[in-house]
This record gives sequence, C-alpha cells and structure tokens, in this order.
Amino acid sequence: MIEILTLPFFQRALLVGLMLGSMMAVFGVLVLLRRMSFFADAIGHSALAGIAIGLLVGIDPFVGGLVFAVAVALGIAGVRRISTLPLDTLLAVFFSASVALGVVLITLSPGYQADLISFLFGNILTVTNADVVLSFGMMIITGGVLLWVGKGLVAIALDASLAKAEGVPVGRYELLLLILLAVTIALSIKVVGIVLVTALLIIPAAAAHNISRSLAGMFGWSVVVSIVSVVVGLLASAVLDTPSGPTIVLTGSIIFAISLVTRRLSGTA
Amino acid sequence: MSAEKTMFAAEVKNLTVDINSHRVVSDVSFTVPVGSTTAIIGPNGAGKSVLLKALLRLLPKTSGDVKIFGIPHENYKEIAPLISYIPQRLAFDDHFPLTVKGLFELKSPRPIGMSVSERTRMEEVLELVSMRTHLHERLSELSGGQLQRVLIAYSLTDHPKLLFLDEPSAGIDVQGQETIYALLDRIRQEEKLTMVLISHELEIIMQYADQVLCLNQRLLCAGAPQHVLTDDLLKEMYGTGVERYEHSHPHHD
Repeated sequence: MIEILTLPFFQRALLVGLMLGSMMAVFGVLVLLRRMSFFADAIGHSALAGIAIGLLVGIDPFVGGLVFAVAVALGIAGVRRISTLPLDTLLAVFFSASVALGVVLITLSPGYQADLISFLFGNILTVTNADVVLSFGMMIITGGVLLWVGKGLVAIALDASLAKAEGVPVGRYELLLLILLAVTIALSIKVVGIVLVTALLIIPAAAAHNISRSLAGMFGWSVVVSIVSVVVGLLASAVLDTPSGPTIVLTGSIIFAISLVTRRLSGTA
Repeated sequence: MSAEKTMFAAEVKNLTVDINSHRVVSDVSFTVPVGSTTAIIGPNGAGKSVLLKALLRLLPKTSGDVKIFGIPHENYKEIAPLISYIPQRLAFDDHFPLTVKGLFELKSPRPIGMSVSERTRMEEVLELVSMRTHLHERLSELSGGQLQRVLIAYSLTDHPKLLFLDEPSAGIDVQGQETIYALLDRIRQEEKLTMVLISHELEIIMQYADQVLCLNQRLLCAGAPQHVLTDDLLKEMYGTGVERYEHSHPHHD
C-alpha cells in the first residue's frame, strides 16, 4: 500500500483530491446553509453535455465540461431573474436537458463511449500535472475570494433582505459564488465523476453539521471530513481496484453515519 | 454631511410600488422628523412591509422620490451606514449554526473574527438589551423575544441614525410586546435615534409613537396618533372589531 504512494499518478490524484476536496468542503457549508444542493447537482450534471461537446469538436472534454458548467450556472441565474417559476422547477429543466444533450452527443461520437464510465464515476489516471497546477491556482483564488466575501455570503444565507439592507451587494456576491462553485465542481469531476460530484460537496458539510455547534467549527470539520474521505477513499480505491469517486463518497458516507450516531448519542446524553 | 443638516430623517414624495403589475403602494407622501418615532399601521395586505422595503430599495419602486437624511435613496451606499433594518422574521432555518457572537462577527470588515473595539461595542449593545450573557447561544435556540433583542442590539452596532422595524413584536407574547416597545423607546432616547416601525398594537402606538401613518395602499392619515386615529378612520381601514376597542367594548369582538 505504501508503494502506491510513490506512484506519480497517485500522488497527482491525491494532491488534486485534497485541494479540490477542501474547496468543495467549504463551498458545501455555504450550499447546505443556502439549501442549494439541487442547484449544485444541476451544475455537476450539466458538465456531461460540455464533455460531450468537447469530445465532438476535439477539445479537452474536461475544458468543455468546465465551460458548460459555468454557462449553465449563469444561465440558471439569468432565467431565475426573468421567470416566475420556482427555482427547483427551473433546475429540473436545466438538469434534465443537460444530461439528455450530453448522452445524445456522446452517442454521436463513437469510440469514446468507453470513457463514459470515467466521466460518470471519476478516474484518477486522467489527472494530469496541469490539473495539479489548475487546482492549486483555483484554491488560491477561491481562498482569497472567500476571505473577502465569505462573511457576506453567510449574511446572505442568514437573511438576504437583511444583508441587502446593510449594503451587501447580494446579486454580485451570489454570482461570484455560482461561478467559483461551477469551476470547482467541474474540476472535481476527474476525481469523483459527474454522478457523485455533489456528494463531495454535501456529505462533508452534512457530517460537519452533525459534529459542530458553531459556524467556524462547521467549516473546519467539513474540511477535515473531506480530507479524510479523499485520502482513505483514494487509497482504498487503489487497493481494491474500484472507481475512485464511489470509493471516496462511500468513505464520506460512513463518516456521515458515524457523525449522525454521535449526534444522537450526545443529544440524548 | 447633509445628514446632519436636514430636519427630516426620511422624505417620501408620491411613492408608488407595483408588484407583478399589481399596485401595492399608491402615491404615498410623508416625512419623518429627526428623533421621532413613526408607526405605520394598516390591515394585512395594506402594503406596509412593501412600503418599508421600497424605502430601503429591497424592492424596486414604480415612481416617486425617497430621500434619507436628504440623500436620494438611489445612492444606497451613502445611506447604508446611516440606517438599520430589522425584518419581521429572519429567513434562516432551525439548524443554522450561527451563535449570537457569530452574528456580530458578520458585521466586522475583518475576514475572520472581530477586533477588540468591535467586541467592546458588541458587549455594549448586548448589555443595552440585557442579552450579554447569551453570547455563545445559537440564534435558533433563542426565544422570539430574545432573538428580537439580539437583532435590535445588532442593528445598533454601527451607530445608525434611523431604524426601520417591521413588526418588532411579531411572535412575542403580550407582556414581551410591552417590554420590547419600552426598550425601543429607551434606546431611541439614549442613542438619539429616529424610528420607523410597522405595528398592529394601537394601544402601544398611542403610548410611544409621535406620528402614525395609516396605510391601505394609499395613505389614509398622517399625524399624531391622538388626533388621527378616529373611530371612522379605523373602521375604514380595518372594518369592525378593531383591536383598540376590544378593551372598552368587548362585545365588538
């Protein structure tokens, strides 16, 4: 098992997993507080259409996925402003349309269907040095932006009207959150895959919610749970020869179950 | 700054607000003198909260002019430090993991935590509302009255000059209502504040408000409560069974 740690592809996957996992864990808390998990799911799944477009036109499918995810995030934000339909209805439309488009386009590009399982469930062999650099850059940007607007985003989650009355530029902050979230989700697809990318966002935050009483604690615990899930999940996937995404998510789910039991026990104590 | 010179904390001229092409506030004009307490009353759906939100630019107006301390409210950045708003209820859910201290930390420009002077101010305003000992409690664990006190303290943190309150006693028992209004009146005097509040409690308005605005889409009255709250006007606004008369004429119930 130690041997695997010396393999460059595994080191890359671990590094990228840790960086993206930490970011997703922090975003996850904001997503949980805003009850936006379905939104994140829609963005994640929309990447499938972008990946398919990338395959068809011959660019890196993950670049296609990233661009498409950001476009869908902005699209949902835009349509939300002009439509009176409830947000979950709009999301369901975007979600299904993107997946349908993705599947149709992938079917139209023969020869690549074998890769579908990688896109859907993650494949650490696809993680490149460029991904390490990109993830690092994204982590610096996200960290900086969240230090700058993080309190505003929490204030919006608490009560958007109150935040707006206090002069928080609610619209701009929300847009910033959506773009950063879409990019982080799209980057994470290589490690965990489209189907389970939302789990990397939600499970650590949900477990942290069970463990911590304060908001600062919730952010901290979410990152800890994410890091443990990524490290244990990746090692287990290498040893058991299982897909990385589901193994990481299963590890996170076990931690969540433990946190739930701990909460119940301490609640009744 | 012009804020110091003007006699009016708020000047509203011909304000009209439509929501989804439906007129909710129609051609409303009034002024709020500096240092006064103005109460907005009216039946449910009369447009009270919409009026308040339009003043704060939380909702777009259809037409009209609003000035806060002489500054057009379109320049909201200039106005924001002068005012505070306490909504009827916060939109957070029962499990929101924010403590009282965490709430105050959101006000600080520091990325994490707050400075020593900000902490001192937090303790000062929490002391003012007798909530200093609740620093580490979650907002979701406070009673309605306690949360309202914390929000009042929170709204005072940056030394605002004008306070907007949307039904400050909603969800609080009758005894608590009296205390909240007495507290607000004391704070208004100590902090030299102007207050604009929405309220249903006519008895309390009689006691604490300098000016009452009766709203039912249009402004039906404006003036000192003793003068404007006539039987005819209350009947026009609420129909029969008005709260004020329940004490003297219980058979109207």
